[in-house]
Amino acid sequence: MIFKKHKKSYSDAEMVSLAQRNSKRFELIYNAYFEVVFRFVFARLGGNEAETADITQMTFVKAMAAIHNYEERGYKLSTWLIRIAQNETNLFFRRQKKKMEIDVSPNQLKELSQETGFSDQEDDLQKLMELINELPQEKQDLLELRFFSGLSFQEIAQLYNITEANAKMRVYRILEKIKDNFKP
Amino acid sequence: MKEFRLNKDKLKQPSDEDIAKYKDFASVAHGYQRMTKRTGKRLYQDPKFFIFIFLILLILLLVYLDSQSEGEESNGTPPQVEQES
Repeated sequence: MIFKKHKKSYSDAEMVSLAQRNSKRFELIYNAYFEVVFRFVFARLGGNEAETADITQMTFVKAMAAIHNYEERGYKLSTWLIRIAQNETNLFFRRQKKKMEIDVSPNQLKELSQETGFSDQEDDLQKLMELINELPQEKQDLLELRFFSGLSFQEIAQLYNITEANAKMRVYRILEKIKDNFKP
Repeated sequence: MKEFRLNKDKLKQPSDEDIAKYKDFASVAHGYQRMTKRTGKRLYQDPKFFIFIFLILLILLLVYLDSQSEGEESNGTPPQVEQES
């Protein structure tokens, strides 16, 4: 007879409730979302593995400390974790004395270039990169989340505690600004 | 500080093994313990501070008792004036 071990899968609400009662049970959340957070931070850091690991660990330490304050507001637990990871990553960039170069592939720029009327030519993409680099941090973050990390407007709205329409409006205003600054 | 750079090569993606290598809940639990652990001695555990507070409270008590006894004396029966016969 073959015995199979079945791992019980928990819902977000169950995991949060267990972790709030016993901090050791936070491991369930950690195991469920470690990869999601790691990949998110990895993409934001442009492939720096060691730094990604540190930021991911710190994200979970902070999430573990804040789990008692977590309230379900109709969005996924992963979004809450991504928000903490986003803050940790921004903190990391602020602490950096040297400029960190984040690689972006032409594929990641495809949708952004279409939205702003740039072509897929390398010169245009370089110009687009320059314009993005000139933007303030908050605006860069929005474009990065939408076009490089591939988050939906709904997820962005949840990250920033704003409505979906507001998230769309903010992104499209930035795109308009890029279009205005583009002189071919 | 960061700067985006166009890279035409295929961007590096972490493999499942890479991710598993960094997955360590024990270090998160340790970090949590360190973050939530109270640092330093509690004030009431410091003998010097405890004696200092004790003395302050004792002085305040003595001042209070002294002012009470003075009040009682002043509110007591007025001293009798001897009448001339």
